[in-house]
Amino acid sequence: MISRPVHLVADVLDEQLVDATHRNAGRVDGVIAAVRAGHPPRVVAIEVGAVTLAARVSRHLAAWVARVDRRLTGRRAPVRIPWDALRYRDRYLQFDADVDATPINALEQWLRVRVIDRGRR
Amino acid sequence: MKRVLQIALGIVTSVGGFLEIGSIATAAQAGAGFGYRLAWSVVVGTACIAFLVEMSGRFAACSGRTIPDALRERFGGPVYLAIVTVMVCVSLLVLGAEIGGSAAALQLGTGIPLRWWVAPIAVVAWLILWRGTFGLIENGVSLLGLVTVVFVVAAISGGPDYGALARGLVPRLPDHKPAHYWFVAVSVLGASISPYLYYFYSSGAIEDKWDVSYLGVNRWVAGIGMGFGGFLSVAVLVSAAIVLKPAGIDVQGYRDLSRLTTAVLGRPGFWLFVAALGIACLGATLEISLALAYLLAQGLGWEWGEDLEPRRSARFSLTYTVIIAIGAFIVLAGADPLKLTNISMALTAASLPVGVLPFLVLMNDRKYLGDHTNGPLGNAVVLVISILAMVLGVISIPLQVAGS
Repeated sequence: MISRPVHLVADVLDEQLVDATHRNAGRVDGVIAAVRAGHPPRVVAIEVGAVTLAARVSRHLAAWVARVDRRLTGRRAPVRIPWDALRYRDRYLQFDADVDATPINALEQWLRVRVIDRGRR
Repeated sequence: MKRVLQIALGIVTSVGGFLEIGSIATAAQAGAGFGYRLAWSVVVGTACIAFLVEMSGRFAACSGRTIPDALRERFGGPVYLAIVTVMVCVSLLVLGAEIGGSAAALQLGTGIPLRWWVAPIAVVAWLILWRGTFGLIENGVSLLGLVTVVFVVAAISGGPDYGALARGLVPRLPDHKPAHYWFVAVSVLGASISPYLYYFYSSGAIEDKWDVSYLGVNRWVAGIGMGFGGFLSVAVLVSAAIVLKPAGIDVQGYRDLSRLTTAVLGRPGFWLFVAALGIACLGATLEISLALAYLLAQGLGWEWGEDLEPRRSARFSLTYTVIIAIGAFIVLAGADPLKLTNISMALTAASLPVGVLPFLVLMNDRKYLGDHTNGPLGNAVVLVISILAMVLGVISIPLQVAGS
């Protein structure tokens, strides 16, 4: 868990994510905050995925990327990682799981199993 | 002793990897059309790429980061995507030109039409990337690229006018065909200052695990390696000025280019030209494909590395696979490789500031470089030349297209 104060844009958004074994696991494409009446917003999660990144450019691009992403990975929403599951390791943001066990690597896994391994047989 | 060997190998591979279809064709067109008058454009382009390569190696050694990684972090996702879009579009055209160059070499050597060689070349390039290591590409292919030294032999054997060459090193206004003069000058600049070169070099420094102890090696390799590379381009220009210009031959096809070496060295010169063109373009095909895969994988946070087996970096491997396929498709779709070379080199020059200016910002950021940030000379040289290339490109490309 991140205990020190961080600047969400400078220190979190677009930072490299690594998994428990220090493998690259994408980047922080979006930050999710819960808006609470009478209280400051509270960061609850980060989002990882091309759709979230595309949405920062334009809604139309995001809609197109979402269609492609759905077709390739079957994913219907960007992957969210709870804020409490993150910590800094060196200059990376780390979460405590194997990236292959998360939907972040759905396309990587699909390529590995369906294309590369099948091609070797 | 180990460092001396590293420097020597680095210089040799830089020289061997410098020439490709862009620098050969544009330097030949410059010599054929304007004699020694455009030699300055090769020198200016070489100075700029030498500074950029030195900076990219220094950035990797000091920060331990790749350039796309830092671009994404420093400027954010949308700016990173904009830079990537421009660089990928332009570099795909350059890649098509390089695959076309290799295919043209095989056409010259065998007589079998160029289009039949495109797919085999794409497959060979893909196999080298899929099965090979970074060291194989960096050292093996670049060492073979030393065959391009044949252009120096041809230029010296042709008896150049050294006085005219010295005068050509000073930028001058054209004495005829001004639109074509500036278009060729821009194409020479684009061919010399290829962004894929310094992205590839920087990623190589990370793959080879450079740290600040490599700063000296980096400076020598970038300065001398790129300097000798530029010397090869000048040799091509000189050969063209000796062989093509007096005969009134404009470079319209690859066979015209082969005269650069055959006029002086005869039949062996022809075969050396075929080998030089084929190997240089194949080397550039590998470097561009890898550089674009690095650009995407590092910026999007994927697993990457030419030394990783493909199943451990599946998206990275898929990216260079698709990139090679698109490059081959561009040639198979009927694009004339020589025209593609010209337009892609001019577009490279015109789009230089898109990649170069954000990189200069990084190079002046103490967060990444510590005490090793750029000095005023490096900043000024790269800034002025890249903006000059863009301005000349924006003006001369429409004039050339309208004129032709």
